Amino acid sequence: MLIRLDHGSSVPLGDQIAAAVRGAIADGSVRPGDRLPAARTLADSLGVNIHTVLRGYQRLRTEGLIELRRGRGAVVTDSGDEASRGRARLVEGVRHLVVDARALGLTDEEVIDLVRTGLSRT
Amino acid sequence: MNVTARPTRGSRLRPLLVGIPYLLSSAVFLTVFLVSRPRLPDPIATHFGGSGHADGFTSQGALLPMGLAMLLLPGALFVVLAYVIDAVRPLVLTAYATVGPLCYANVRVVMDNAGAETARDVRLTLWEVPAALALAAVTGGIGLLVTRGWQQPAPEARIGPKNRPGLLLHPGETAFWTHAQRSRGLGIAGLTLLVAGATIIPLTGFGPGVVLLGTGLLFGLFSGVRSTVDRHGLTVTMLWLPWPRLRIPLKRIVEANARDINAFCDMGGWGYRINKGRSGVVLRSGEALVVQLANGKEFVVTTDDAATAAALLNGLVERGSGHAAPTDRRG
Repeated sequence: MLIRLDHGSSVPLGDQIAAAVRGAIADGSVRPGDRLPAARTLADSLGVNIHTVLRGYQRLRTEGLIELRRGRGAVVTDSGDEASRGRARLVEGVRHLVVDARALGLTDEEVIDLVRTGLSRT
Repeated sequence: MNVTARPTRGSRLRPLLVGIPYLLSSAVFLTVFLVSRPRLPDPIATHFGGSGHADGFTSQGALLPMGLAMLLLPGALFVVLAYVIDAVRPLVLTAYATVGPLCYANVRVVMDNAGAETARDVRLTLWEVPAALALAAVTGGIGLLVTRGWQQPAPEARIGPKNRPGLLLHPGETAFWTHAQRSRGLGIAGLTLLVAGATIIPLTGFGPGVVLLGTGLLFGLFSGVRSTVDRHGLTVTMLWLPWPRLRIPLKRIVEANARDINAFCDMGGWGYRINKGRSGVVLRSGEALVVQLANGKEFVVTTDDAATAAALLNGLVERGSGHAAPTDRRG
């Protein structure tokens, strides 16, 4: 798993960490059940605050991609090889959707309406 | 890219070459046994204490299969190994040097017993040890002759291409790579040894059991290794323990490459290996991160995705260890 952080970018560092881990789950270089590096270790390696890493991990947890367990740290959710990779790709798709929608100036309501319409069609 | 020169001509027959001395030794043992059979006591003394007195006995009928098994099982093991990891010279020499003492021990037991009234009268002298060692040298020497001229890959040939392009790191960018490598083979071997050790402690006492348990634990520990590349350099830890930790600082690293290594040929085996000019952590043959150190030596760790690790290490080295990574405290 490779994590690159651009400290000069406008994208928050925590989001960059989440995106890198998500990408690693999606392309299979991190497998379901694998343990992510401890937040303290990763923070030290990347030269960021530990809370920045934890914010990234928290985001992945909200997306259902990892589980945070006391004592065991962050573990990639094990719902089968394909399911875990598929979910990571799906969340990536959602990120792209949001970025595109923002670029078009759509409001949150409009985006949700679009998705709802898409869901009702299938 | 494969760094180990494979044997070419007649290479398919080479593993069989490992088995031949074991077949010959079995024939020798069989002959000696059949010839001396009328003069053998029953039971036969087969184990001797430190003073040379017999303290272990086997029936005449069981000696033949036991003796043959002692020769044919190691022989079969060496042949299988030769097929799995190539009939490389060190393996052939080990097989040849082992067959001498094995055959000697078997034949000696038969000849010492022959003519004795009862097995209790059989004695063993201290001369057996140097004699067995001398025979190891003789059969090992035959192995040297047999394998004469076999091509050994020169260490220079294994060094990968220089100046591989590193990952281009922008100013203000930090990066981190990690991979947890597991070896199912080492894990299973470790578990088997642990179970075997725990089983034989009640049967044979603590000595051999503890040795098995210790070896099993070592195998188990080396069945999982995590490699990490960051601004500090390359760090290798065991998956199940935070300590010990091997860290090679960036300033000691000249360049890194991803290469295929053969555990036996290139590193001399599995686990933490220290060879002349090369050390490393080996879980399997295959993809490995090879780091050229400032002191001219190499450090090797077997891991998937080694190309990414090598590119990042080279990028970090190129940027220079002098620059401290930008530190973010705003979160």
